[in-house]
Amino acid sequence: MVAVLSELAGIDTKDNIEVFLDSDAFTVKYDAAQVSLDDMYAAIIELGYRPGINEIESNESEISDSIAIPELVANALLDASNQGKMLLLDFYAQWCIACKALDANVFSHPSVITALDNYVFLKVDTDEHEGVAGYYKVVGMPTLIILSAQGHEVHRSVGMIDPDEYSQRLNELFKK
Amino acid sequence: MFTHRLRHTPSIKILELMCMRYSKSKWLLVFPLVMASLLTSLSVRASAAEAELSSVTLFVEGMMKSVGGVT
Repeated sequence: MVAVLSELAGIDTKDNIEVFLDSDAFTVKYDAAQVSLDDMYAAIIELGYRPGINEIESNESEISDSIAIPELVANALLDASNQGKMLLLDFYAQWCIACKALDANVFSHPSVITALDNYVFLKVDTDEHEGVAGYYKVVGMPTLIILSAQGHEVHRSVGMIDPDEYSQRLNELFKK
Repeated sequence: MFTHRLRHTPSIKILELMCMRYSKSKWLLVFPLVMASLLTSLSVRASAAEAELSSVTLFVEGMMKSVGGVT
């Protein structure tokens, strides 16, 4: 799989791919102007693999009912609803380099910090809360999901984002 | 005739020599500066190209179970 992905224009070399075997994941450095996430997903699917986290074990404590919203998120939604805010979920892992870059470049950006005043911000460690990541069908990291106070997904982004564009998106979605 | 005489006038000779020396010393000063700015520009371009790379972590179901998946 690494060999196939490294042949995609915009990735170009195996040095740009780091495999995290224990987590069934890999980090890719890529030129967004040349290759998209969809191109990568297509290459993965073509090889017979499926993007995403493995099926949740039936004894997963976080989800008692397959339809119910995970408790962690349900509590955050309640907070958001009580405060008249929306909910922003940030799916990350300690070993995820891209997530650290997102924290440094986006969540420390003044315009994003201001826009987050209207949001309850919940960081979800995908190792610790695999069930929650599975519930929201997280296929990559960092994944940011914006939920309305009713729990409906209104926006999702995977990978690096521009802080100014994202703060604008946060403001627009809250106004709706 | 007049220009020939003028060229061989001592003061003109001195002036010519001064100009040549100035020209040589100027290049001795300018050359390292040009090289330094060129190298700086190249390294800035290289780091900018590196900075333009995005990074993402992708999950693939069952990748761990198959050695073929990661080779």
